[in-house]
Formats: sequence, structure tokens, C-alpha cells
Amino acid sequence: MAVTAVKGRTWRRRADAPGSAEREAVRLRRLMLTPMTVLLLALTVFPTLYSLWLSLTDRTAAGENTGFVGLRNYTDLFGSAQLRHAFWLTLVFCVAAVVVEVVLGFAIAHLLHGLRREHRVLRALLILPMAATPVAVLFGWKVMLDPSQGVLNYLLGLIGAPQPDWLGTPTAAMGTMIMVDVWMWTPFVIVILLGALSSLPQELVEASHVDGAGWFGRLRHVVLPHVRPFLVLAVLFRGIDCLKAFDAFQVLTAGGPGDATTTLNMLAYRTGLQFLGFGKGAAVSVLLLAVALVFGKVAMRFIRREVRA
Amino acid sequence: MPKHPPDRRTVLRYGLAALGAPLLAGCAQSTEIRVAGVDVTNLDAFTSANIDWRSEQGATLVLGAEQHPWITAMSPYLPQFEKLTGIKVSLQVSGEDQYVAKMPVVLAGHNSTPDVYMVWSYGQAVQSGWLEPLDSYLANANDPAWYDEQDVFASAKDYVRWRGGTTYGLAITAEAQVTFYRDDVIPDPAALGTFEGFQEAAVRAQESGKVSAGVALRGKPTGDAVAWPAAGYVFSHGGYLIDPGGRLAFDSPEAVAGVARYADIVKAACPKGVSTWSWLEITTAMQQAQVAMLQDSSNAALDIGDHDKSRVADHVRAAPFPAHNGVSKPNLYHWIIGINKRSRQKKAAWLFLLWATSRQGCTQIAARGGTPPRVSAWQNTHFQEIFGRQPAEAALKALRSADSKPVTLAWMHPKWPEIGDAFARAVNSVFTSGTSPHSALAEARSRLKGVL
Repeated sequence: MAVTAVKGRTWRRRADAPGSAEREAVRLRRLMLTPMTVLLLALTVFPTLYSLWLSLTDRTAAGENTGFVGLRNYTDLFGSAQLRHAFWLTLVFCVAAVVVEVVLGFAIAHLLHGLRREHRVLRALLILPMAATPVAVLFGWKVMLDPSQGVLNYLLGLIGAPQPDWLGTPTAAMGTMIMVDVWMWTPFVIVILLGALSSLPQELVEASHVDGAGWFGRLRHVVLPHVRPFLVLAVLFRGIDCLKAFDAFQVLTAGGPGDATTTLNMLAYRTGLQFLGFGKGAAVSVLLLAVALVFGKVAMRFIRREVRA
Repeated sequence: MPKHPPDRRTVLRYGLAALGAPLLAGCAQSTEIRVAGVDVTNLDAFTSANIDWRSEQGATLVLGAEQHPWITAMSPYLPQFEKLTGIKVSLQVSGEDQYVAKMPVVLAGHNSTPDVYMVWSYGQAVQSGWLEPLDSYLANANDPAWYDEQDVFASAKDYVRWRGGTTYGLAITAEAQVTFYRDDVIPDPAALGTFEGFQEAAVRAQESGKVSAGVALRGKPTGDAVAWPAAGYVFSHGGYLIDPGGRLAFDSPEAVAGVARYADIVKAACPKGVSTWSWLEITTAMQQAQVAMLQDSSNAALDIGDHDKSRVADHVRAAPFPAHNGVSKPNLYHWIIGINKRSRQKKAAWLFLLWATSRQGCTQIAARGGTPPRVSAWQNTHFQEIFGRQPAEAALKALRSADSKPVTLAWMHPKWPEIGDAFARAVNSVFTSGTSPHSALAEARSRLKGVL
């Protein structure tokens, strides 16, 4: 490379710089990216930083007599039984929903993968819950779950089964929320895992046949190792989604009965937007973000390790 | 990745798409409603007043409101106001959830519009400095005889009078807790006069097999759902949510007794699933003939007495709210309208308030199904035809004798959203998880320690 030395430094000569057409292309690309970058800064980075700042203040909607309070909102929250309760409920909901979705999603994807012709039709049908507008779907669920007028209890009644009050007791309500989430989002896991199974090298499967591996052996030693990074990816996406689940809780239970389904996100909404305590609400949101970040970091590390392996 | 820069045509195409998308989105989310095509009548009734209606002609007012029967009944008359005053009115209507979430942000952002708005939480709005004091406007009203303040329910006047006597808004609706029952299912309405008799009648109706449940009550654990009807039980048992000294009184023996009674009735005679029910569900249950009674706001008469929507419209009657030891203190509610303190059109806004809350204004709104806080409006024949003569009389009786003190102390409190939410969740947990009323209310009180 031709270089010119000036006072011990090396400078790239203009003649060696990329061609002017390429420079133009780079400039244009930057120009085209600018609006998106500005939007990203304005709509994501700034609100996040502003939320962080808000969480360190006692700002309310009135905006009077408010100011910097340091970590007081956080210490108040950590001392609050309500936050601990909301954290526990969030954990229960996330773990149960994600485990069921991933197990069920894998099972259905595996079954669908075995089907050749019907595969596409069934896949289209299965993603319907995910494709429909969530709030509309949730209002549909609300009607179906009504213990006295809903279709679910009507069908259960036809076969003589007990007709529960789906959202009427603390335990039933959380179980129902998990069930609805599973119904809505298992198709998402199926789509990811179907893609993973499609990329499974056929030679490996055939080799396992030749080696005399049974169905379970093939599943354990061939299929699962191949789809494991995708499983972790599904867990990551669904885990973060469950952490910030809001619409279903708001429409179906409003956090009740009592406080039995008041998750962290519901608590943030109530504190920040219903009670207009912007500082405290922001602190709950920042905690939620921190939990999501830690979870995401761990999952990403796992994915990288799997991919390397 | 392609190395070629996009050509001009591509840039233009995407540029236009990028410009067009927000415009389309803006159109889709617009809440602007234009009112047109309504006959303007009765101008004489307003021009006869000694008020200079044209003093602000040429101004444009923005009116912020949620979807509500009052807006539905009032908006057809906006052309009349525009013709009377020369002031244009731009109506911005949102759904309740959206409105309640949006307005604090708008007002806290020091916006000068909406100039006039429906106030969802009066105490919070006053405390936050979002409302223009109206005392000087009221004192300088040019024609008090025409406005006729004596015609306004006492509870409605008390409701808007803030501590120290300042008025920051005017009531536009009146609602009181009453019991609606079906005369083909409830044989002895006289028994509904006490809580014991009401509960017994509900249970008997349920056992009769004519309906699937005895009574529809709100159970959803939010400040705008179960808190309102349950508070009437607390007040009638002699309790308060906030006592006259400004202290939380959730767990007083009287309040506990009221909540216990409410929960008992829910458990004994309400439909399964009522723990998530709010206004829509209870009125639908009554319209669909699933319950024998509905106990809630008098405004339910408009829904359950509507022959197009209700299967039981011909059988609906209203009874006074039950009493405990001879004391009946039904809960009541008045929607309030006020002027944005930062409005640049305050005089025009005041003219709107005068027009909408005057005796004549209320009468015409009542004739379209609004429920204004004036005796004359409730006695209006057109109003009684829409509302139902008998329910209107029962509600009017309740509104004229209502004690607004307990409800004002609670609902006007600046921290009512938190207080109402804690109370609602406590009541809900009594009939959903078997928690005792005392421990549920005591826990709610302790949770609010830091708030007050």
C-alpha cells in the first residue's frame, strides 16, 4: 500500500481511498439511515434515558414540588410487599407460560415436520391466533370464559364436567392467564422450531436410522442437539414477551381478583399512569427492564455457546 | 448486500411512502368529530337572557370529552351554540380508558387545549392546578334569575365546591344508586327497602328458576367499577372511606359491615363470574333477562328500559336504595365540566358552560337522554319518556335527598385513584378469595399509609 510518512504518522493517500462511486454509495446509505437513526434516538433511546431520570425523581402528573430523590423510589419499592408479590406473580406466569409453550410448540412442530402435504395448511391454521389482533382476541376470550354465559363452560356442561369460574379465584385466574398466553403464542414457537427442523441435515437422520437408533434415540441425539439454539431463542423471545405482558391482564382481569394477577407491568401501569406517580411508575419499569436485560444476556450467552458447539 | 446506490426513482418512491404513512396514520387516529346537519331551535330561550352571547364571536373552542351519554345528548345542539355565540366548537372525543390516560398527560404538559373538558378526577385536577376557578364568573353572571341555580340539585352544588368554598367546575350529570327489579319476578318490592330484604329477595328470585341469578352487581376490582356500588353500602352502614377529618376510614366497624354485606350478596345471589363485571356486563345481564335485579347507577334505566336492546323493558321498575337501621345513603355521582386553567379562550369557555348547564340547556339535553343535575330537567315529560316515568321518579327522589358528604370526601380526594383502587381490590378479594372483610380492608389501609 502506498503511504506517505509525515512526522512519524502514516496517511492514506487520496488515490488509495475507495472510488468516488463507492464513497457516494456509502454517503447515500448513511443519508438514508439518518431518519431511522433519528427516529430510533427520539423514540427509543431518549424515552429510555428519560425513564431512567424520571425514576430518580418524585415527579407526578401535577409536576409540583417534585425533584431529584436519588434512589428513594427504588428503596421504597424493594421494601414494598406489593412489588415482591408482583415480582413473584410475574415469575410464576413467565416460567409456566414459557415452559408450556416451548414443550407444546416443540411437540407440535415435530409432528408437523413429519407431515409433508398437510404441513402448509396446518401451519397456516396454527398461526391464526398469533396473526389476529390481540385485544380483539382477548375480548373474545373474555366472552368465552364467562362462567355463566361463555361457550367453554357450556361445552364442559355438555359432557358433565365441572364448570369453573375461570377468572373468579386467584389460582384459577393465573392458570387461565397462562392458558390464554399459551393459546396465543405457542404458534410462534412452532414457527421457529419448524424452521429449525427444516434445516436438520437429512444425512444425519438417515445415518441414525442406519445405526439403528429408535424414535426416542433420534430425538435425543439428533433432533434436540440441532434445535437447541432455536429452543433457547424461542425461550428468549417468549420470556421477554411474558415479562412485559400487559394487554391480556388488562382486558381479562384488570390485575384481579384482588391483586392476584397484578404482575410487574400491571403494577408499573397502575403506579405510573393510573395514579400518575410518574417517578415511582418509571422505577417499576426500570426494574422490569433490568430483569429483561439480565434474562436476555443469559439467554444470548447460552445461544452463542450452543452455536459455537 | 447490493453495492449500488438506490436510483432516484426508488428514493422518490420510498420517500413518498415514508411521508404518506404518518399522514395515513394520522387520519386513522384522528378523534376530531364535526357536528353538522342538526336543526337549530330554541334560540329565543337563550337570547331572552341578559347575557352578551356574541361577546366572543369568532373564537374557536376545543371541547375534550369521553364517549358518554351526555356528549351524545349534547352534541346535536352544538350548532345552536355556534349560531347563538358565533363561537366554533371542535369536539374531541375518546373512549373512557384512552381519555383517562391521555388527559393528565395533556394537562400536565401545560397545553392550552382543550379549553373545556370533562373532569374525570376533580380532586386531582384541582390539586394539580388544571382548572380555572369559577367563583368570579359565577359572581358576575349577568342573569342569575335566568340561569336559576336554585333548580340545581344541592348534591351537585356541594360536589363541585372545593375546600375553602371555591368552585372549579359545574356538574353536568346526576346519578344515584337505585335498585332496578323485574315486576314479573320480584313479587314484593316493598321488601327491597332493607339490605336484608333485598338479599332475601335476590336469593328467592334465583331459587325460583325464572332467572339464572338474583342480582347483577359490579365486581371488577378497579376504582371505577366495584368501588362505587360498594361505597353506597359503606355509607348506608354509617361508614366513610375518608372521614370528615381527612383520615382513611376503610376498616371502621361500619365500613367493614357494609363491605361484608356487599360481599354476602355477591356470593349468595350474583351470577358466577361477576368478579370481573363492570357496567357493560351488568346492564347486559339485565337486558338479557338473566337476573331479576340490577343495583347500580340510575342511568342504567336508559339501557335496560330501551325496547330495542332489552328483553325486559316492559317489566323494569325502580326501588329506592336499601336502608340499614332506617338509614339509606346511596352513592351518587356527578360528571363535571371545567375550564382549562391555561386556556386562551376562557370567556368563550364560560359562555359554553353557561349555555350547557343553564336551565334551558339542561332541559334540551335531558330531552335527548342526558341526565342533567336539575330538578326541572328530571321532571321534563320528554326526559321521563326516555328514562321511564317510574325510574325517573325513584332516581329524582334519591337525588333530591342524597347526602353528598361521604362521596365527596372520598371521590374528591386528590389521591382518589389510589384510594379507590385499594378499596376496590379489598372488596373484590372478600368475595373471590374468602379473605375476611376486616383483614382485607385493614391491609388496603396499610398499603395506603405512604400515599396519604
